[in-house]
Amino acid sequence: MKRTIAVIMMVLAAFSAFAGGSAESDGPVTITYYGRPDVELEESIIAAFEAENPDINVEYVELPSSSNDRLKTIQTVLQSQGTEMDVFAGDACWPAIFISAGWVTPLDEYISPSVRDSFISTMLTAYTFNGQTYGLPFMADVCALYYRDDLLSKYGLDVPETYDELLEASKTIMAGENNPDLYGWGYIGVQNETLACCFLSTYWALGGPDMVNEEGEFVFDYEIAEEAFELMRSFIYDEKVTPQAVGSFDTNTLRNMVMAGNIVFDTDWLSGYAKYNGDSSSVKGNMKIAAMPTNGAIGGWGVMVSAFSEHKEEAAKFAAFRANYESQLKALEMVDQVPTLNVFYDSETVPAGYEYLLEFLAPLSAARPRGLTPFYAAISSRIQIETSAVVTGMKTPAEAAESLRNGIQAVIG
Amino acid sequence: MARKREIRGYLLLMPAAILICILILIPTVETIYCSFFDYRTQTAALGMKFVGLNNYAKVFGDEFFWDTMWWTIIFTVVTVSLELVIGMLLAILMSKKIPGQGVIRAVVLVPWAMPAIVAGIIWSQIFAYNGFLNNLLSAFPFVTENYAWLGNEGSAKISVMIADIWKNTPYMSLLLLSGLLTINKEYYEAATIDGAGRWRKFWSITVPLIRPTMMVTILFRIISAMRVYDLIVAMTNGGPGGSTTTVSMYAINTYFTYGNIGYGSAMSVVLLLISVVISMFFVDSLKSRVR
Repeated sequence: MKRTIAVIMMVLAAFSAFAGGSAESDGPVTITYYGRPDVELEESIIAAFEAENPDINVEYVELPSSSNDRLKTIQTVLQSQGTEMDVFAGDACWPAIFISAGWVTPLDEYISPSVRDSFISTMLTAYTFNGQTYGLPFMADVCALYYRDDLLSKYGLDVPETYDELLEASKTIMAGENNPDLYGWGYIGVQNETLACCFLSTYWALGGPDMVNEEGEFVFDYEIAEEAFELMRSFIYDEKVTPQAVGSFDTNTLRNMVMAGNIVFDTDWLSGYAKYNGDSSSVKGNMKIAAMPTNGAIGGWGVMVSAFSEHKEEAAKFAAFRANYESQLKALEMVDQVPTLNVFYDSETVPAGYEYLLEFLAPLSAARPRGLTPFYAAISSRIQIETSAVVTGMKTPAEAAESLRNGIQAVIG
Repeated sequence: MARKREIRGYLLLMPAAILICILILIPTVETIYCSFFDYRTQTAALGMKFVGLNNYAKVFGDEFFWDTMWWTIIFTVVTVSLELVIGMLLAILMSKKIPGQGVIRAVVLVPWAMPAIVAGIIWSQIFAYNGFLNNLLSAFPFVTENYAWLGNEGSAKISVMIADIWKNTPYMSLLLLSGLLTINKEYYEAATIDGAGRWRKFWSITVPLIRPTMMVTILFRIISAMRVYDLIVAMTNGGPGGSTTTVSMYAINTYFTYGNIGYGSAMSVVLLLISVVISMFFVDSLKSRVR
């Protein structure tokens, strides 16, 4: 009896599945969006999109909270050429991986040039290859130089534009303040992606070229890398303007030191601004932001469309919507996501209450893609290891540059 | 009739066998298969290219792989040995009839019940430059400066070992406790009559009788210590200078993050082989005892 019931149930289930399938093909198209885990925000953007486009349903899949796990999730779907993901949010340093594998679709045929021009141009560079646009940035970020405006004014100093000026300003202020707890320059020195970004800023300031040139050749300069290591080492061990413990500073540790008033200059992402100038900070109102000497590494997130999507046009439509003014304003209001559109950075059009965004324009305009190579993740990992070894005194700059060369060669060779 | 029974036996085993096939055998075979190919996401469009044992040759020539392997082995030997000693002490303590025994057993379990990533975050905050440990130490007059526990190779290695010991000793002690509770009390009574001391009783009765439990426990712990991942990722992310990166961290990063599936698979297979050799050694020594 039980068996009979089970068989009937199975037959019924099969039929209902068929019925559902045929009904779906007549109805609206359903696309799947793998988005950042800001559930409330993403759902509200999707609701607005669906209201405007009744013929498209968007199914939202929440990405994991750690950046590495997000990459794993997206990579696993793309690797299997799965059609279950049409459009997804991705970190600014991933596009090279996906483009070289042929996993993402250029969006140029779906978006107008005026839409392209509405973005801060540097933010778009992370998603642009060979003149084609593979993604639209919806959240801006960059490694920036924060500085103590009160101390710079007190000693009549300008915001440093080179590492020499950074060193001199640090030494002047440290000597003048005569506070043993005060340091000149701090950064996130634990072995992670931000440390690699910090290294790249130093490397670029010393004249280091991009990892890949226009011909697509890998032209990373190991001699300049060694000079960059030496600069970071000497700031810690010779000049003592960077704390010797910097190699153990994670984001929290660094920010706590800055907020306690113990750091004059620090390299951090834009999310530091609200913390430094928040109520729990002893330097509230005095922590200003500028561009890193020469360039800071691009961060942030954008939307890309899977090459395996069966509904590319609808997916591209959603991508454009996810990065448009209304969505970005909503994201700014709900979760403080820094926008990527020029209109937010004009003193006449900046939304009321968000005037601080104007200060972000200089660092954002000096943003540079970290490395437009499909091997970026592996190369960055080697950079993280070697930079960490230098700042913690485990290796000399020459040894670190040599290991970096061997490590990177093994990856790209 | 006997044949029918046999078939029924196999049929009953089927669900478990199928499950093992799907969950263990297929992924293992696929990993071994992938390890013979140049298979990278960067060149995924070109497909997989058979390269024979090339990936293995690369593994053997990869200095960083062997650095991570040595560190994994040192980490495993140190943590498992200390977990065994401390676990044994805790187990003996818990086997005694003392007031609040139930509460003690429950409290001891807490670290083990905690997800490794959470334990890692907690310990990283304890060892942070302006964290709990440095705050505690600053109460002493001779400590003038905070110490970068996770920013120096030696102390970072010790820190992650401490965290692992804290996390996994309860598991060890609980299994050992179950072994202790199966020992017949009469052996101890007889030994007391013969005039044996505590130490003698421990080595001549307790240790031999819980040896099978101990071996299995050590085996489980070695296998799980060899593939430690989340605890260290949360504490140091493998730093400083890659010094706390374990083999499984390197293999997982190579496979997923760097997208080098062939090479990452070869690393995993090497780690698997080493784990199998260690396991066989333990299983073998268990067998010889039973005989």
